[in-house]
Parts: sequence; C-alpha cells; structure tokens
Amino acid sequence: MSSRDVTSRVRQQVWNGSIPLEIHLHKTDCRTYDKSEPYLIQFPRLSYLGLLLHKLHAFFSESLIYPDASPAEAWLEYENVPLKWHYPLGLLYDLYSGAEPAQPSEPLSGPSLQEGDDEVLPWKLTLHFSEYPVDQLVKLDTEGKHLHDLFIHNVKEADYLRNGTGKTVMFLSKEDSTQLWNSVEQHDFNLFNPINQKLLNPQGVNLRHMPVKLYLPHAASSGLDTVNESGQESTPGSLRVVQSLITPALSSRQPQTIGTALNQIIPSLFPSRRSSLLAHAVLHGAVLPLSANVEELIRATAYLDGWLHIAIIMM
Amino acid sequence: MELVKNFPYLTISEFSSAISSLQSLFYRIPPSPKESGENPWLSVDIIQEHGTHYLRITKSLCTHTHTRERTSLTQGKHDQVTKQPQSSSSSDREVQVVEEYDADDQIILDNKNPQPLICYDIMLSPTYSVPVLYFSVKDVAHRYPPTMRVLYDHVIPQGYAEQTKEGSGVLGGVTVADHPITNAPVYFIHPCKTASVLQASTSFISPHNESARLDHLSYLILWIGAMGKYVGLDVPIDLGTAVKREKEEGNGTT
Repeated sequence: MSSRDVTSRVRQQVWNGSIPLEIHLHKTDCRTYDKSEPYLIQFPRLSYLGLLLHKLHAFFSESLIYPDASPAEAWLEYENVPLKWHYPLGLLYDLYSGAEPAQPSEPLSGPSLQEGDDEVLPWKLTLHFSEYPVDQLVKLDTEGKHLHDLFIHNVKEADYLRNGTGKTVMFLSKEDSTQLWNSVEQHDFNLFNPINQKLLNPQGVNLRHMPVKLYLPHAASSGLDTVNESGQESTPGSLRVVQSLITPALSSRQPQTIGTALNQIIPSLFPSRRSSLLAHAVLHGAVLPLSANVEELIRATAYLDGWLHIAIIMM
Repeated sequence: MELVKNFPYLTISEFSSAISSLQSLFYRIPPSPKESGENPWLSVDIIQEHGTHYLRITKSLCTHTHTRERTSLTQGKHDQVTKQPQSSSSSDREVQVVEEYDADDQIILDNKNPQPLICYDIMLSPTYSVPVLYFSVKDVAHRYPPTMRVLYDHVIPQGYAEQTKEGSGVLGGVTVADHPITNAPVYFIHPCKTASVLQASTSFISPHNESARLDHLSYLILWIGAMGKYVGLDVPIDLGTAVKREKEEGNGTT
C-alpha cells in the first residue's frame, strides 16, 4: 500500500471514530426529579458537542422545570467537570473519561473495544439548564455563531502556522468557507475533504510550522517545575493548554517526531525522545508512538480545525 | 534604544523588553491628577506563569451604565503577580516610587458595592508574533460575566461597537475565548489583522523615513493605541508624553 493510501485510510478511520453518549438531565432541572429518559446518540469523535444544543433542548424541553429556558443555557458535565462546547468530543473523552487509551502494539484490526471501555461506555454525561458556569465555559448563542467563530479562528491560526500567512483561509471563497462549516455541522466527509485538501496543499508554499496543542490535566501540569504562582484553587478538570512553534524537521535528514516535539516543549514530562517514561500522548483514543512523524499525523489525523489536539495523560 | 527588527512582528525578547519598559515608565511618572477626567491605569504588572510572561494593565470599569467613582480598589491587585527583578541601578528608586504611589492612592472601600476592575492582559502570540489582547472584568459580586452582552453594555465605549464586530472594523473581531494561561473564558481580540493595522498606522506617521523605526516601547504604545481604544484601553496622556520625551532625549544622546 502506498503512503498516500495509508494516509487516506487513516483519515477515513479517524473520520468515522465515534463514541456512544448517554445524556441525562440533571435532577434540579427536571420536573420529575430523576425520572426523565436519557438522550442516546452515537456521536463523532471529531465533532463538537455544541452542535447538539438544539437537539438536546428539544428532547428535554418537556421535562424541564422551566420550559422557557433557552438552549443557550444548556451545559454538559462529566463528574463535575463542565465540558467545553468548542473542544471536539474525542479530546474531551481522552482527557476526562478515564478510559485506558489503546497502545501502539495492539493490532490495528478495525473498530474494536478497548479494555476498560466496557465500564466507561456509553459515556454518561449530565445536562444542566441552570447555574451556567460562566467563569469556566464559553457560553454559546442559539444561532451557533459563537461556535462557528471559535472554529474559524482555530482554522485561521492553523493555516497561519502551516504557511506563515493567513492567505489560504482568506482566499477561500465564500462558498468554500460555508461548505467547510456545513461539513462540520453535518459531519460530511465529501463536503469536508475538498476544502481540507485546499487548506493543506496551498500552491507554492512550504510547510513552516505545525499546528499542535497539548492539553495537560492539572495533575500533569502540577508536576512540572513551573509553579502556579496565581495560587488559584484549581477547578475540576482544569487544564493547561500548551502551544509552541514546531517545525516539520529538525534537520534535512531528521523529521520532527512526536517524541522530539514533546521532548522540546515539555521536557519534564518527556525526558526521552524515544520512550514514554512519565506520560502518554493520546490522540483519538490511542497512545501516539513517539516515533510518529508529526507532519504525517497532521495530514492524516488532524481534527476538523486542522490542529492535532493531544491529551497528555500521566502513566 | 533598540529598534524593532522585523516590524510589525515582535520576538519574545523584544516583547519582554517592551513590557518591562512600559512597567518601569508607568511607575516612574507621577499619577494623573484626579481632576483630569481620565480613567487612569491603576496598576501595570508583569505576570509570570508556566514559563511565559505577560503584561496586565488594570483599570476601574467605568461605563455609561456605571456611575463613575473616583476611588480605586487596590485590594488584591498584587496577587498573582511577580514583579520583574530590575537589573538597573535605578531599581531601588523605582520600588520606592511604587510604594509611595500606593500609599498616596487613598483607598476607599465600599464593601457593599466595590468598584469592578477591568484587567487587560497583553501576551505575545506565538503564532502571529504580535501582541494579543485578552481582557476581563474582575468583580467580587460576579455582575459582569464574560458574555457578549456585558461586552457591549459595559465594556466597549459608546460609538465603537461597530469597530469590534468581525468583518466591519479594523479589528479581527472581539469574541469570548479561553485565556491561554487560565483556560477560563475572557474577551479576546483576534490578532489576524493586527500586523496590517500596525503597518497602516505607521505609514501615516512617516511613510518613507527609516529613522522613524520604532523602539520596543514605542511599538507597544502604538499597538495599545491601535487595538485598545475600541475596548476601553487608552494610553494615558502623561504616559504618552513621557514616552515621546524619553525618545527625544534618547535620540539626543546618541
């Protein structure tokens, strides 16, 4: 199989990754206390829970104590951690579900349940319509404009990193930009792929930097030598998001790997470039091999906004 | 004074030099007279966290829906803050000035209804290599959550609302996004247009004059002037005058 075939096969597998969700209405918002039926959905890992706002509101409106509550008042939580609407579901799951990520040594034989998933799946989330944690979660609007804004900002930034200019995104036609957002809303690969290919392969531009964000749960970041000087009480699920300029290659012969990048950005957690000693880098439910080439990962496994959103999980 | 090498882009060390110059200048000049009518900067702090550092300018939140009070709330303004160690011999004097300033600033606390503060955090974007503005209202009574409604009702000065909407103004649009350090929602001006706005503002000053290249501090003052006014962050007049004066003196001696 050519590398191009591998890329497109992996791309397809990542696109199809999904997680079953079981969403319960919190008892304080429910007319019948804890008797409302849960909302069940198989939801794409790459997609945003914010896109479910109206469906959730419609489904639970009969059960709400205050039926007039706007869909914008809704927020989701897992074990007291408010879930950011604009993070892709897969990232939230990898960060908070507690499921064991798949190891690279395991055979790649189609979709298979990982050990530990049985206890976690379906992922049980709680929906609230009151006491929005406005200091922790960006509040969405009912028209989905804010979610779109945050998405486009990420797309622009990823583009700027890759090309050193934001021109590719700026030069997308109005139709293309609309199609990109529609492809996200509908999770439609045939709409998404042509625009994504334009963004990934601009003419006459070399790849400059790679859009990678690392998400360190509080447990991981407090182990770092940098002290949290704010002395703030950390809220449940608080994260440190780390972003740094990552070039595609260290030299003409040495491409950037996950190991070299992590060793450069957070050496205290990744003291070795070749083996994980303290923490794992997790993407789409799998532990990334440290030898993985970052540029290939960007092409095959980036999230919809063009970024690799990598969860750092302590071993 | 060192000049910005690759205008309108800033390196990390140029940014560090710019924010420490602004901080030390702020504490060197006397505070604005109370009758000036300005809503002055209350403090200029350099915050270091997770290996990055950024500048925080704090003001009282004064809006059209808010009665202007000429009191300042300094309580808590120094938490989360590390003062940059100053290497120059003037550091002792500066620290003294800071203390005197704090002591002079009569604190009148209204415990029932304390004055909300607005914090402007200026950070260097690793992606765009320009400063980025994050801002939020600190209010012990939690009356001003980071929502677009609060932004337009209480934060953005009247007449500037159009400039802050994406596509219509010079800014990349104001939105609510997560703060890069706290990861909590704050207001944010997207930096995608900043470089071109800075370029446009200098070409007005002097299109062909090489010697008009900016030093680090002047760059930051220019940036605040270009990005801040739409969201209530102005360069105080005496600070602007002091920058100009120091620049002239600097030019005179070299």
